[in-house]
Amino acid sequence: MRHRVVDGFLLLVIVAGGALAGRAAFERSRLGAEYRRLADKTGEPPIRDASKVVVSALETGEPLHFAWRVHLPPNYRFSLWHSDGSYSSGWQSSAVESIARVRFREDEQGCLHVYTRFSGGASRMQVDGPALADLLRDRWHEIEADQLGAGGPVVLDADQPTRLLRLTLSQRLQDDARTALPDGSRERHVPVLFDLHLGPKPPGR
Amino acid sequence: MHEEHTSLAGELHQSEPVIPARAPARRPWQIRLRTLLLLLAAVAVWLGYFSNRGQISFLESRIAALRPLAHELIIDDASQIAVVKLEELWYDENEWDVYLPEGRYRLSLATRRIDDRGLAPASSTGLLESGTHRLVLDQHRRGDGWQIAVTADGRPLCAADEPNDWNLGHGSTGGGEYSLCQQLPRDQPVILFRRRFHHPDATGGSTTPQGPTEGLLLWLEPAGP
Repeated sequence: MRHRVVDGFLLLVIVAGGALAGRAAFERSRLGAEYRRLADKTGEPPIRDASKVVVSALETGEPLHFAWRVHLPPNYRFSLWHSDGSYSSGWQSSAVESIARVRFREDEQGCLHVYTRFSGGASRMQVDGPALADLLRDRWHEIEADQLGAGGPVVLDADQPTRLLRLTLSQRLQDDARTALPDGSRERHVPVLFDLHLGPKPPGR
Repeated sequence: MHEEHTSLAGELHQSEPVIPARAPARRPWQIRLRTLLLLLAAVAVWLGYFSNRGQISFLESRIAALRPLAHELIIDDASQIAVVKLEELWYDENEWDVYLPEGRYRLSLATRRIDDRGLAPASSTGLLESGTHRLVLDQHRRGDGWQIAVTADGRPLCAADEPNDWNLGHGSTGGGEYSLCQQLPRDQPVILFRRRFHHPDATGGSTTPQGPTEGLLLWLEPAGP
């Protein structure tokens, strides 16, 4: 008699647990599909240590458009700086997951502009005068891009500076720049057109 | 030979009565095989349940982290307006995906007398039917002034022209709303964009004026059944 009671109780536990496990499995499957869909759309670098900076390049399909999926740890004070010394900085108390972008575009006056978006902040900056835009027009494939995270997710310590993007003119573009660009422009943008770094603070600050 | 054997067996029966076989006594910690199998099955289904719960918790947290990055229009209640501002792919690019339930809606654009709350006199309006629409707000400096245009699904809907001194270039406060998808009551105005331009102050800097000022206000409101 005692065994029958125990077996009956276990059967009840199995039925209740089975029902809950079935429902949970269905929910997990539904959420798993939604997660994979969103991860495909936004990118999802593996974050094994939330105290690290994780950067993974995203495909944009445009030669003038660079994007990254970025994880920043809590209390991370970041700076973005250019080789000319200009910089921007920010801080967030909680961890940040965002998509960072650097995109180039010509304005109606024929000048090249760069749009930078990082961790909620955005800026637009003119890149030299019309002569540079004229030189580069339809020749973006001749620029070598060194993009952080292009080969896969990169994990960095919070105090570790790194280069986010460097664009270098090809030898042919450099040769053409010698005649097409004024001296000042040439000094600033040949051979490295654009050089953007990420880290806790710019050197010398 | 056969008979002799039979009689021997008969003798045995008579002299030693057969004792029926008894199962050995069960020790207190012994359980039956059926009970053991049931116990294992119970442990297995509950382990499965808790394992799934752990996975669900992880997936929910990741979905919550990824959803703001995706900027997707999510319609949970078809009787309410749903709106999400799309990711900016260029500086001050303002685009929204909007779902409008049954009815007609008026999209209004104001460029003056914009306060930090409430609505303003519209300088241009356009009508929208129910359904899902892509709204784009575009501002451009053209010659001696500014052109502000709003398109719905690529079709011009509202437009305004302002002189250069409309935006003195001293900065502004505010911008596009609904970076995260939201659902809102259909009978209330939905403010998509509010920007108020700064004015120069006595210290040589600039500040947002008290009260209504120049800027941009874009909103949706019901226009009838």
